[in-house]
Amino acid sequence: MSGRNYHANDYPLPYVIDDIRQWPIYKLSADRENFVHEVKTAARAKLKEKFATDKALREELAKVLYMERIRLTEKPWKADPKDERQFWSSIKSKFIKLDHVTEKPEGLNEDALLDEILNRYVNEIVGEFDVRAFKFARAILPQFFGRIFAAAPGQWFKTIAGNVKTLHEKIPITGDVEKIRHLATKGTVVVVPTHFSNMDSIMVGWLLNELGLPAFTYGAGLNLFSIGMLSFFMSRLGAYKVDRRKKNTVYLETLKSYSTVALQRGAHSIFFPGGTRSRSGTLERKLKLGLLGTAVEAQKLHYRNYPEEMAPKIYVVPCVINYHFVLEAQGLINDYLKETGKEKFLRENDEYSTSYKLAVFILKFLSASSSLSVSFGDVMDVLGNKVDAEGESYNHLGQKIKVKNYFVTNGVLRDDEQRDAEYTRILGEKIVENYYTYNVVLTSHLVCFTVFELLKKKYNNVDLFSLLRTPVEDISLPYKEVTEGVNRLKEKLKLMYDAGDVLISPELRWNVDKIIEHGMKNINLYHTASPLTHEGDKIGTEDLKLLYYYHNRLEGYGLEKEL
Amino acid sequence: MSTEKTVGVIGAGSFGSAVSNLLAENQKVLLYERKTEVVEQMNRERKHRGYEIHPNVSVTNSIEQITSKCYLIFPVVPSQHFKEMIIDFSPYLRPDHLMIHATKGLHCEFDIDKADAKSIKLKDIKTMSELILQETGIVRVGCLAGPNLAAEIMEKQPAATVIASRFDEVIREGQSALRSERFQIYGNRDILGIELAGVLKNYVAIASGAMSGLGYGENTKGLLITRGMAEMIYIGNALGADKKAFLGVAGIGDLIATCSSPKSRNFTVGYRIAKGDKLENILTDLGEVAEGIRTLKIGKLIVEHTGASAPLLQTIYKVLFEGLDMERAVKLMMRYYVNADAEYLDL
Repeated sequence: MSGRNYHANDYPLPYVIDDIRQWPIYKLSADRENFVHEVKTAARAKLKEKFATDKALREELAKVLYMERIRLTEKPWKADPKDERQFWSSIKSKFIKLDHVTEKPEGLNEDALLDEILNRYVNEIVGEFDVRAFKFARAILPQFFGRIFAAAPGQWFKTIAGNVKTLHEKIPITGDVEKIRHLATKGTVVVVPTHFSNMDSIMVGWLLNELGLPAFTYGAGLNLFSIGMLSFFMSRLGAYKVDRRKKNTVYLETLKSYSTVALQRGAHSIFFPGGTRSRSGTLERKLKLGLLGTAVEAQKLHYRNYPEEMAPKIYVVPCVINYHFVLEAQGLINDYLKETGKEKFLRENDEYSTSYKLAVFILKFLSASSSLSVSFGDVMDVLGNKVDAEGESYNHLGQKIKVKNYFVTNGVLRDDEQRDAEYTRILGEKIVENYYTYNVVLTSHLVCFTVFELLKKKYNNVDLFSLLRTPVEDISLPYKEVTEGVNRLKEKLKLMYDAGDVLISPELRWNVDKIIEHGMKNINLYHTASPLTHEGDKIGTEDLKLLYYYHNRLEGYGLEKEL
Repeated sequence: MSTEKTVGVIGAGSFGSAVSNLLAENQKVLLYERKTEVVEQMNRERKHRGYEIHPNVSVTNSIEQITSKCYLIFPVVPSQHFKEMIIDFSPYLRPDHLMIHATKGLHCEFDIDKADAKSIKLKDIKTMSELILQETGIVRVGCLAGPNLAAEIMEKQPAATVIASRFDEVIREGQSALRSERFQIYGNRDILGIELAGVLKNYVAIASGAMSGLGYGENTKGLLITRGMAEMIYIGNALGADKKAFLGVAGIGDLIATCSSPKSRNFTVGYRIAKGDKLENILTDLGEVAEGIRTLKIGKLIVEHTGASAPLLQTIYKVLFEGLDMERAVKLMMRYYVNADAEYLDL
């Protein structure tokens, strides 16, 4: 990794742009009216291209109405606006009148209805950025995080470290921070984190602030906005609302247009490309390409709107967040096992419906968190090529390239959705590669992986579900066998680290007994049923599913072959 | 670059020349040939390998000229030399170049004569499009494959081909450059499948030549072609390709053409082996490489590495390299059959 290395006590770093009023997100918010208009225009243009005739558009509108009616009756949320039903029934009655020659009001047509729906959606999605709220949060949050993370062991806060450490000693950040900071002043940064926990967006938002970057815009689940305090801050700190229940084309196109226009206006963004949290606990392998595609689209539009040398660049930065444990693990893995083998939409739970539930969640997380780590991957252009400190792109052969050329055929800049979708897929693959390469292996992951794989071997690789149904009382492994396994994998991981295939936490260089102890302590901190137990010379578990969940974090490296 | 189109072709072998002439009906063509003396001769005589060179074709040995003038380039170079060629071109290629290759062969990152099937890595075996992606900054890559015997194309007989690419744009550009009243061009997004179909048929063609050399007729050929295709599907499947490509113009279409044509080099190899010729002599006489020989060697490694079912490949290999008697080989083959017909469709 090149660039300057920052030390724990350098944080928070000074802002790369002092004046908050010069931040892209502030400017966006200050110009809200025009911004909303632009998003609407962009979405309308895309939809009119897709549904070129009145007939096609009308059929699509019928689908929207149908899907919205189902949502309203089957999945109502507290966060829904009061006039939601009213709005849709008015749209419906207008839609019916489209067919009436006599009763059709003047000016009513497919386009007008589309506009009305777009208007509704855009205004729901777009958030704002409020300097006072931001300054307030900025003053409060570090104290909040800082106090709790840095707390000495006490009655309230269980921490592993015996001695008091500063926040940043506890959360090591690896990656080329200097490059990211510099490029955030030259172009637009899109941070693409892994997604394991509901804490991720708060964590990442806070971290990027610690790096001295201007506030980022990011999509937050609409359900989170039903929580008073959270809603107050989120809606003022650049979050935009994403309603995962709405899967109709018009909504999805509006969402994408929001992102494209925000990027075009230079708003740094956070995309969770996995879509939702990883259910199985594995690193994301299949990314949702919709939002990611807006980075490609925005870059292409820059080349259309600016002379080549002036066109701003969009930089994509993968980010891996490593927790020893994930609070929602239990629910996630149950969802995963239920859904395995079935093509079904996940039920979008309204998990944190009250401020109280959320507060409890955050408090548990922070107080129980021992250490976690964050690593930033390669800074890339929208095709996944690495960029240098000045943002110039280099392909995998080290040849300097112009990104504009990807959008050019026979000397002409061309629009081609299918081509751009392929580019997005290529970018997605690069991001996934980064997730694996910049994943930091923690002791808990290693121990869980080893134990579960040894169990699989012991039970002759029976199918997963049979294994998971085995009564936990019957499950145990000799401690010695586990130490041998951990040792083998540890050595392999060190070799992989040297080859640049993965990162490992410093504790992985300890001796095996200490690794197991550290891993177990961390993983068992929160869960009432311990994923790992150690009694006498036996290693066992109280919850196989959880063990499986944490084991999955090291899936995909081929480590099982070493056991 | 102007919007006036000039397309490039790399390699002035028989198929490269045929592709150039086809392209020349619609636009100017720059044909790259490495050897200066061949370039001079071609430009002087306007004839190559016994065929006229279309007036729209200029021959050059300047890489820079072809890469600066052409955004669309068709490499038609034997797989053995493909990597060397693409590395030479690489510094001049940019992401706005589109490339459609027409090479029916595979590249190996290891020595195919010394490799051990158990220890090879499948990712070290590459199709030409994978090689282009690996060695250049080009992303928009496609391939051309189908029953396209060069001589028949030169004689302007009707034919069809497939352009495969993950990019619809590459298919469209290729179609527009090659469009012709006597040449149908199908599109397919499964580039791996199309490439493998084009490659794997090579060794079946050797077998077909051998059957012909033994004096067997059309019944045998019918059997050989269908079961040969089944085998190609199994091997393709082991390499991650879908079966569909094998059932189209570039699969069964190409297979029938090459298995029936004494004009095909692969067919000739098998034919002469069956007549008792030595492999060394045949290869010396052919001058140009028969891709089938490489395919056979690489195919054997793949089959042994993956355990794909391929008795025909194994037997032909033994005939060519391990001195198995031809008549005995046929007996061996006849003993091997599967009960169910067209079982590969369930794959």
